Amino acid sequence: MKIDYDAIIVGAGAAGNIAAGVLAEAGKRILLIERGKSRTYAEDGHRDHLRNHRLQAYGFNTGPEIDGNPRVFIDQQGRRHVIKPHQDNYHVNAAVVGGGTFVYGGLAWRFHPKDFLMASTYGRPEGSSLVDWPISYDDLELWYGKAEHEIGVSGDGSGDRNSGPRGRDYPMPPVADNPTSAHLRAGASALGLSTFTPPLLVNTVPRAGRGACIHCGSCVGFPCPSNGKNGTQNTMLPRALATGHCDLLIETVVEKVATDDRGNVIGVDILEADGAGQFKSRRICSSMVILSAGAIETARLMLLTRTNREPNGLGNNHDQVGRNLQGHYYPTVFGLFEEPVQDSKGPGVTIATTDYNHGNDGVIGGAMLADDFVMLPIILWKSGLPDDLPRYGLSAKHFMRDNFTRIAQIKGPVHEIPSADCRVRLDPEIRDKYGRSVAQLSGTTHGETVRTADYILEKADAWMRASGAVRTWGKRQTLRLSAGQHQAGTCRMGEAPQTSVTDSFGKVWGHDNLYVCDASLHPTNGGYNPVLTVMALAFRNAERIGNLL
Amino acid sequence: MSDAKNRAFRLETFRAVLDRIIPADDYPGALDNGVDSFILSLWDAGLVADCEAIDQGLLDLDAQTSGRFSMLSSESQDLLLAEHKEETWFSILCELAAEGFYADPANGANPDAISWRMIGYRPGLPEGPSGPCENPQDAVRGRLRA
Repeated sequence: MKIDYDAIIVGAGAAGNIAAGVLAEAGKRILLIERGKSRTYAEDGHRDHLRNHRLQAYGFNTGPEIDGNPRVFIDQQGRRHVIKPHQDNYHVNAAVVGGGTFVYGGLAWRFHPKDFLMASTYGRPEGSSLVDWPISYDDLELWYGKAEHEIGVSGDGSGDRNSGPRGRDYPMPPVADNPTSAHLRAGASALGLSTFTPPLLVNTVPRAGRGACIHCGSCVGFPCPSNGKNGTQNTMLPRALATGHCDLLIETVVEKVATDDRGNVIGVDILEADGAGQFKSRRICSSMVILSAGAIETARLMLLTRTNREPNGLGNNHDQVGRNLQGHYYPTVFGLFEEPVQDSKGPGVTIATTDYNHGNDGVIGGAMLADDFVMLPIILWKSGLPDDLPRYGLSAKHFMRDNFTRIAQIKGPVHEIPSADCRVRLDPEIRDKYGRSVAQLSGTTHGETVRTADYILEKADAWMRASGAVRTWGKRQTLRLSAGQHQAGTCRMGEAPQTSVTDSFGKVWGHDNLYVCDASLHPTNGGYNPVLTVMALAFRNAERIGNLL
Repeated sequence: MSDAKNRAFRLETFRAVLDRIIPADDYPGALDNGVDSFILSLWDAGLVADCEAIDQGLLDLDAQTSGRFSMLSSESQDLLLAEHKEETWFSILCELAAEGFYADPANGANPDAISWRMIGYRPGLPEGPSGPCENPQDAVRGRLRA
């Protein structure tokens, strides 16, 4: 058997591109495989307010392609629904070089030290799979700092009084205020809340050969017009490719992990279209395989690979792969002010509090709360109007005309209480256009998540009212499956194979050369946007893998 | 999403309903902005969910008015639509109208970003409100260099 590469990485997203950069710069020969395209702002078509990663009315500005990539969603009554990528309940992540980091808003949070100790802090609620992480904040601190500097984060390192200790300040100053900031700062002050400017993976000054943010009016969900939004596609991937040791294969789907007759991992099988459009499997061999395809697709690839030794999927002899799927509930409060509070100048997030992440009376965990990215008009119309406002006639038109610039938001990602019954499985019937069984999603988060989300909604509402909003509105949450762009947890790391899928470095139990490197590893997903944690883990785990190769 | 569906409703009725969903005032209404064409394009491409419901809703409106809905006064039209405001077809049509009216100009129903000027949204992109041009060749297929 010819070993083509030291390591094959599946998925050029938040974690995969970092692993590729770290390993290629360490002199390893890397193949990085991405099912999506490589795109830039200029190549990405017009700024489509109906087809992006904040609003997917008819499609996306990235993959996955709408046709041929379904999933199956099992609702709480047990009914099956075949779902296309842009439809509700698909729980899509961008399929493109850079993954979600190509289009994200780039909130760059470190998890709270207690986010790593949820079971110890709160106990494990009945019916939940709440656990501690096998590593602590202190174990990750250095790597958080590395991610902040290598990828590029703007922020105020001394702003967050609830943060764990940090070794270094951010490499760039924080974003400037907008007309919302002073209102929310005054409201927070009246309530005794501490606030600061949230960290963002956005250049506030030119850096690393790329420009600063130009404050366009459509940030999250779209590629950046100045390339000043720092994803992995414009930071670690170019470094990986510059070494000459990393090959990037785009628009290529992995059929399964390749194994020998003893069930050992030897590479991957990719699918290549022949002249007639038929897909043929081609084996590429490597010493190491790293799965970085996101919490749903990484679990799916593990389950798609069945051997005599592991007949239910790689790493799945203890039925742990694909369980504990989680993301974030996002309670949101809208507030109407008497004067303009929006100037449509991105990114738009300017003020946050972490006072409600822990220490909340009668609920488990909590959430970071902040104002939001610049809002698209159609998104306000579809998801931000008060329930009692008619959706037609001059009253609807005049509400938009009079109030678009006078509405602020406060929202935040609630720390989910996971359930082992919230799952990714292989659907027994539906296959994608490549012939692979599709992901079947089922279950819900634990009910405690809903209680915390409603608690946080009340706190956000109180903050908004204290800030001078003349009217506020927001929706209470209901029990549902939660994954989406913050999807995590399906290959959780832990102390033992009976209760987890990998060790604390992402090495799949029972294998020496198969690693998971993405948010699948998160035992819990924090009360913050998770991407900086994904990046920090990728830096840490890739260095470990490099030392073993 | 459904496949492309035929439509049985009268275009006059469809347009008259849209004219009441987003009426003209100091700023253009749905028809001035081309919201009717925007929706019909989606419809013909098979992208309108529940298009049967809209079709039936408009047919029912015609049955209720002996096909004369478009000739009624604005006040009479509004009174009639108020009877239907809770019905699914009408909600969907309102949503489709808003999509065209408030989305970017390149979607076809917000010419010169007039709706954005009305509400005070600033797109802030270097190329203009809709950003870069379409690019049919947005990427090349990767090649394995192993």
